[in-house]
Amino acid sequence: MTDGTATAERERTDPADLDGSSPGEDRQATDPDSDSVDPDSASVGPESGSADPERDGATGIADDLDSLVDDAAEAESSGDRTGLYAEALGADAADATPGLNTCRATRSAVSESATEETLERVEETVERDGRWRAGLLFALAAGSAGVVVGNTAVFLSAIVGLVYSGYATMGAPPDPSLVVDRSIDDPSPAPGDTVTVTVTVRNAGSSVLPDVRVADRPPAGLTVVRGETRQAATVEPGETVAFSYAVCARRGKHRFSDVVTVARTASGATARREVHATAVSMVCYAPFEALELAEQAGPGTGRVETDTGGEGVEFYATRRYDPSDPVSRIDWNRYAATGELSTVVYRETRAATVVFVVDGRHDLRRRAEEPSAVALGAYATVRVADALLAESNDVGVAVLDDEGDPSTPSGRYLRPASGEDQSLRVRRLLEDAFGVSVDDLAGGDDDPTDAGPRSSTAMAGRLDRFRTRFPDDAQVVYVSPLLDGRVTYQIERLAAHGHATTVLSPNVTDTATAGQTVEHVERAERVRLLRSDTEIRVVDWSLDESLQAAVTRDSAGWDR
Amino acid sequence: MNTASRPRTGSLSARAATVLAVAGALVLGIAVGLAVPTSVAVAGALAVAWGVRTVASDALARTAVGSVAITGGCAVLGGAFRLAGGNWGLFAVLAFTAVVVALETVDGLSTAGGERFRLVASESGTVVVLGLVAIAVLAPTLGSDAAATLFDAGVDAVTGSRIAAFWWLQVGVLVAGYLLPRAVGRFDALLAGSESSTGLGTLADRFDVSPARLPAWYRAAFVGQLVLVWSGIANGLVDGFVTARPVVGDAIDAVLLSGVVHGLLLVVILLLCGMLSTTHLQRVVERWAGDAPGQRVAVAAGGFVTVAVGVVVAVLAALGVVDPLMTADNSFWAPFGVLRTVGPLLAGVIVSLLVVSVAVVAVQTLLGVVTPTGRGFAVAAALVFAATVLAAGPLPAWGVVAGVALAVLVWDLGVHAVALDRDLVTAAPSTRTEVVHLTATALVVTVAVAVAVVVGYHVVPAAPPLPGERATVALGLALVSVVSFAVALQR
Repeated sequence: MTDGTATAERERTDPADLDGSSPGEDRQATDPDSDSVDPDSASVGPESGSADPERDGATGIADDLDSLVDDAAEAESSGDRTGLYAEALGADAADATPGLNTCRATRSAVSESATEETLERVEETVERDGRWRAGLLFALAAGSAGVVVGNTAVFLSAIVGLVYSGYATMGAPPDPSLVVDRSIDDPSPAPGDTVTVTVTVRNAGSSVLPDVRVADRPPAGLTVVRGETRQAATVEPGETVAFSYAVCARRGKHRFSDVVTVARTASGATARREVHATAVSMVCYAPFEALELAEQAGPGTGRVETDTGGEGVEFYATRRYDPSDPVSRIDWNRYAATGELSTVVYRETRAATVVFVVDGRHDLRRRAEEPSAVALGAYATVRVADALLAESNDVGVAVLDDEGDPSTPSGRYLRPASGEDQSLRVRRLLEDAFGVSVDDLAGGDDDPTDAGPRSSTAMAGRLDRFRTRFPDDAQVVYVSPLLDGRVTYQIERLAAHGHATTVLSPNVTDTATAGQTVEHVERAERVRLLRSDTEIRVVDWSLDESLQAAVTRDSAGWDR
Repeated sequence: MNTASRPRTGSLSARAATVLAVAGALVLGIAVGLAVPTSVAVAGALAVAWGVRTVASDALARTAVGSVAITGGCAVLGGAFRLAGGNWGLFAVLAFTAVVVALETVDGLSTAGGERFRLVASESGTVVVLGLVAIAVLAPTLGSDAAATLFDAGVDAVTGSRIAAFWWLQVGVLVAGYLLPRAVGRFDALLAGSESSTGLGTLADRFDVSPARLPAWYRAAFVGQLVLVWSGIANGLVDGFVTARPVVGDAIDAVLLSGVVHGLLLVVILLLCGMLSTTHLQRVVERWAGDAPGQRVAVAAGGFVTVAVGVVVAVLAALGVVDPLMTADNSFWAPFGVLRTVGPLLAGVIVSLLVVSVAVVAVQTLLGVVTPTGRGFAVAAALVFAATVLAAGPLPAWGVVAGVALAVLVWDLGVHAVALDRDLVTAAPSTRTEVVHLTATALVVTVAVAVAVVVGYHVVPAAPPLPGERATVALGLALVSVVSFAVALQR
């Protein structure tokens, strides 16, 4: 018996069952969502503090955070960065973790997940059912019937009940020495992959176990697509029983539950139930690398290639040599051929200013178990914004929804800025606007209630007012499910006003019913019109593929 | 019907419990002289259980087959009950045992299974009832002398006198004229949009003789003729008029007294009635079929098959190929022709469906209240025990003890099967595990039987005799003390 394990003996009226309650299992009976959230992520929850509801939406948040970031720039020099994060987020200083650092930490955690483990026995209980009572009942019934009908044989048959009762009572509860192992063939699968889990139970003792029942419970939220998660067998000393099952991986961190074993005597009346604890988890993560931006860029140094010559790595042109030019840039091939000195000019790369316009008007979802369009839009915004911020671009966010006063000129808008703090601001803004928290593993988590499309009448005016605040050289990434016609008009207006626009559209339409098919066709037509008529770059993201795969596929045909 | 039940785990234990319970019932039946009815009842019970499982299939064909199995199984149970004769009490227990244990093994006596059974019994039973009523209404006297007698009486009444024949002829024309446009209208409604029906409707309207359109003088004349028919006053006058004109009289007699024209009018009226009832029948069938007519028909397939079988048997009986089941010397059924064969057959199926339904509901209610660990197997074990006690008289001592031991074994295997089903859900346990348990329990029960037999054949005869009442009290007290001691030892 493992030191520190609790052993309790109790009598149950029902035979011991693998789902019987126990402290071990009680601690597993948690909100399924909690298993899919990385506690180390920077998803800011309600406990981290919320914006003053009397303040003007995201404007107050943006301004406060902007001012705090300005202070952070000063404080960084003084080494007081963490404290400022805590003040901004309302969290404990020790828990504040920048979003980008969390991504990197998570990626490293992927490689650290175990593929095989031996579970530790943490609890055991002895259970006895009431079979002996049934034997006594038979004896009493037979004896009574024998007395009533006056038949000696019937009366004597009570002995059968008594013997059975004694059989059910006799025998000590089994004391198995079971070694339980669990192995996962892929601890870091991609979303949609099939992961095989194998549970092995070995009888390390010296006695035969006539009836051993094993139950494993896959993580909440994962569907078993093949095999069984339970097994029963007779196990001899040194013998091993194994069973496998396959689950379909979903985004997030999934913690496996404990394995429960119940060893019964041959009569089945007495059993010893053991809980074998596990610490292994499976992380399903779809990395996002980059979104190819248009040529529109700002003055700062970055990675967007421009049509101007300057410092860079890609050859652009040659010009007359100037004595101040570095020797390393002289075109010696031309000098050898013509005897003239000339200087090589490279294509200049600059930083871009990108404003994400997030359309949060449609709270629809393709299927009940899938995220809504709003959650997917928030997830895509955060992932792409993080990738752009990592390339030193300035990123801002404008949120479109039906809440808030349409006459308010600011609405929910986060000014473009760079740095790791901006990632936090983006997440905070999206959570305040849509109630969607995005961590790097699970994607957008939102209320699964299906709210249906909301009115879009306030959209036009608000977008125009946002647009006036966009920097002139800002590119726009329009995140919208494209479920109505007005959005395409707004996109065209943005492009007409000189903002290079990229549309990132999660596809939440389906073809299960006639109405859904109509919506699906209409949306496909809007995508086609945007691509062909207005030559706007569109990423049509189907939920059956990762975001990076959709971006890579659709960006292949973009003209620079 | 898409409530397919999953295969039970612990199938070896469940099947072993079923085999033992059924075998025990058969042996007990043979021992008390009920071999044939018990065997038939077991077959019927197994058919019912299999049908309950098959009805859950998504395929309509399998649903129909399941319905037939349920209805046929209940009919077989009813037939077996009839074969049991006077010893119906013990037979009922044995048959019930087979039904309960078979249902528990196949479908677990689940709520869904009970609902499926009740649905099939209800739909098939309704069809059988309607079939019986239809036969009783449409052909109550076919195949018997009463039919011919009634026909002759009718012909005599219609053609008894020239005035009566003429009056009945007018009645036929009026009725046909009343029904014709309405029947054609219904016909047009069925063929909505057809050009040819327009002309027929217009033509039929010309023959519309609804009572409101009859002139007053004709109505008075019609009533007057009726008076003359009843009173017979003018019969002599009319007969004299007709016989005085041989040619015209012969023609009048040919039309009025031959009955041919009346017969043709009757046929036309029956056809028109059939056309009028078509739309009503269509609405009734449409309402009965509901949104899933195929499913409804499949569920009621057992009833349709039963009615068809009944009709076939009746025809064969009418032709003298087979003997009717219940009409040998029964003078009550004699005048009813084919109904005397079909009626008891269909009524027996209806009663069987009803009784088995009540039994299944009773068991499910009991399980819901008492919730025994072994569920239906516990009920089956109790029934085996009860059957053993009822059959204790003709059984030898070792047979009685073996019967009780069988009940204990059925209960234990049932509890084991239910526990495996609950713990493993859909996974199948290894056969070795179940064999180990089965072997251990069987061995213990065998030892218990041996001990009881030894005590019964050697210890009891050696004991000094006691007066009856004192012996009874002593036995009772001894039993109570042993049980109490065992309970105290446990605690």
